Formats: sequence, C-alpha cells, structure tokens
Amino acid sequence: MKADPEERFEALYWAHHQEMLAFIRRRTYTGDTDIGDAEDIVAEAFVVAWRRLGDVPDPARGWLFAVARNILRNHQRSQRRSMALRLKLTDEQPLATPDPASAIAGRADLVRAWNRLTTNEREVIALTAWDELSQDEAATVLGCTKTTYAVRLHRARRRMLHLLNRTTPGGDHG
Amino acid sequence: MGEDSTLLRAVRGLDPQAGHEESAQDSDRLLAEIHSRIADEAGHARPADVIPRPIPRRTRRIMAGAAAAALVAVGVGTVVTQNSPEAYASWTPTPTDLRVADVSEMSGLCTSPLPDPDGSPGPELTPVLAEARGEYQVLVSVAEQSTYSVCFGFPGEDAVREATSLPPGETFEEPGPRQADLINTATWQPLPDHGEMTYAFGSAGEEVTGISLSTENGSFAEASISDGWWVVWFPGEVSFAGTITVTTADGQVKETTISTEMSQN
Repeated sequence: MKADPEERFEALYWAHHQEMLAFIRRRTYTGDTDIGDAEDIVAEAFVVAWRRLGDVPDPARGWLFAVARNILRNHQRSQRRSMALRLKLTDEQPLATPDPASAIAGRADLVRAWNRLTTNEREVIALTAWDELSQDEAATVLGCTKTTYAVRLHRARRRMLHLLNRTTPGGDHG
Repeated sequence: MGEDSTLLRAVRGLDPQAGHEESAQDSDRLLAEIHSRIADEAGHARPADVIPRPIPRRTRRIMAGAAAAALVAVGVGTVVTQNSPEAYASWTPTPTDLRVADVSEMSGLCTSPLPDPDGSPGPELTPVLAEARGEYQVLVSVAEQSTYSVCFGFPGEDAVREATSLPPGETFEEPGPRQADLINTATWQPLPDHGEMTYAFGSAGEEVTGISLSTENGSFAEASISDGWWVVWFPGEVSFAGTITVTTADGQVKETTISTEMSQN
C-alpha cells in the first residue's frame, strides 16, 4: 500500500536527517567554527523534498544528499566560502579502539596528506569513507555517471597514497 | 585493492563527525522547524535550482574542416544513442597497429585546437595512438594531460571526432609502471550509416604490454597500447562493467573488475 505524502515525508526525515546533518557539518566545520548552519541547510533540503515529493526517488538517499549539497553550495557561494572537508591536527581525539589509520600511516601524516588533496579529491573520497554512500549515490550527489565516480575515486585514492609516500619518512605504500 | 581498502578505513578514522548523534529533542525541534517553513512557505531554495539534474546523455559528432571549429570540450560522461552493432561487420577484437603517419588524413582534424569555454583556441592536441579494426581506423590525441580526442575514420567518409576534457583542475595521472587506468568510456554514433560504437580510453604504465576488456554481455577485445595510452572499442552500446586483463612485460597477467581497480601490483 502506498504511504500518503505526510507519512512518506516523515519516514524520509527520520531515515535520513541524522546522516544529512553529519554530511553538511563535515563540509562546514573548519575545526574552529561552524561556517554554516547545518540545521538550516537540512531543513531547507526537506522543504524542497516536500515540495518535490513526487520527484524523490526510492531509495532517496543520493537525491536528498544532492539537494542538501546544492543548497550548501548556494549558501557558500553567496558568502564566498568554499566547502571545508579539511582537518586540523588538533582535531585528534583519543580513541577507545585501535586507530585504523595506524595500519597505513601515522594520523598526522594522514591528516597532512588529506589536506594536500584537492577539494574535488577530498569530496570524492569523503562521499565513500565518511558519508558511506554507495557509488550510485555518490554519482548522484556529484551529477556524474557511476563509472566516472569509480574512476575519480580510484584516482583520488591513488593520489592520497602517493602523498602518503612523500609525507611518511621511508614510506612505501604504493 | 587491499591497500586501497586500508586507506579508506584509515580515512574513515579521521571523520570529524564520527560518533556524533542528534538528541531526540534536537531531531524533534528540527522537524518542527521544517513543518513551520512548509506551512509558511518560507523555504528560500528554489527547488528547480537544487534538485539533482539527470546525468547528461548526448551525442557529439564533429565533422572535419570548418565544422570542427564547433567542437566543444565537455566533461567526462557517457554518450548514448541508438544501438545498431551489426553495421560494423569488419570489426575485429584484435586491432592492427598503425603508425600515426599512416592516418595523416585524420591528423588535421584530431590535432586542431579545441575551443576553451570562453571560445578562445585551446591547446593543440598531439596524436599518440592509431589503430585499425577491419576497415575502421581510430586516432587518439591528447592535450595538457586533461583533454583527449578520439577520431574515427572509415574509407570514403569524412573523419569525425569525439573530445572530452576533465573538470577544471584535474589531470590524467600517470599510472604506476604495472598499472592501467581507465579515463573514460563513451558510446556515440560517429558515422550516420554505421550505428553506435562504444570506446574505452585510458593510460598505461611503461611495463604494461597488453590490455583486454570484456563487457557485461560477454564480448571481448584487445586494446591498442602506445606511448602510455590505450584505447579499445566495440560495435554498439556496451557496458564495461566486466573485467580488464593487464599483462606486463614479465608475462604476468592479472584480471580485475573494471570499475574498481585496474592495477597489477
């Protein structure tokens, strides 16, 4: 049985609002300050979803993230800001479990290599590693084909490995 | 692939939002705010400006001579038209290598500068690879590690080209000596009476001596390799969601899934 519009809308909200907030905060938090209002952007994205509910595909995740990202870009364009996706070494948090970063490089080296990637390269990797989007969803967010996303992800990962080799003394990762 | 997976796990460990979760109170408050905006029609974003657009699907057919000036470099994408593979009757899965000089009649078209987005002439393309499959000839040219063109020729017809540029700021990366990199695939109809063809284009390390691709429908063909570049094409519209086999100078052969990993370590 098809859910009525209100039911579908609320289901979309409860299924996705948490990860959409995290998605926006990753792109607005610089380590010192939040340069965007994640709640405002996510609220705006859901207003758009309500108005275009008939266009929202099922599954909706990639579509919703794409809308939120486009709203963020409009906000940042008007404020002459760019997406953050950068890390500060002071962002280090004590970890209760072994740091997975240590398997490939020190955390500081990883952060340095990450920050030396281009904005586009960070975005391509973040969509998979941080936002945990599938390749189909990530391609929807970036407005490209799945094959193009796969190729760009492959290249971005390879460049980060290359940067790790250059930043890690005696490093040989690839 | 293993090292790449380790890298992604390591990057995941850097996630600045890891472990952060909204409280139920905050979630309820945000939903109430959304309902309030909907009731007030207070949204700022125009839906048409922010909803995802369909992935571009278009055909580019560029004629030799004056019409070539109309060529526009475009982003990486897949080009789709009608499917009619039977037109390429003489196509062979194994190419015949040609010297670039052998296809000089196509060189003028393939190396003419592509206009930049502002209309000014772009960099000149350098021919890097030529091959034949049956009667069909292909010449690949590259400029500034970010633009390539594939020229397609058939006896008695004007050559045509399809050209693609990476997004601004991106360049083709040089693969490792034992690696092959897929740069783009596209389906187009270069000649009106010959139906569609689908090509894959990429770069290859200096130790790579053979590349072959299989398609989702089971077709198989060997790529031409020259000067660090490779190209292969199939009649009709095909999906490359199959495998790629990379052979290196020491005879080692590795088969991997095309869309995820194309290196031989």
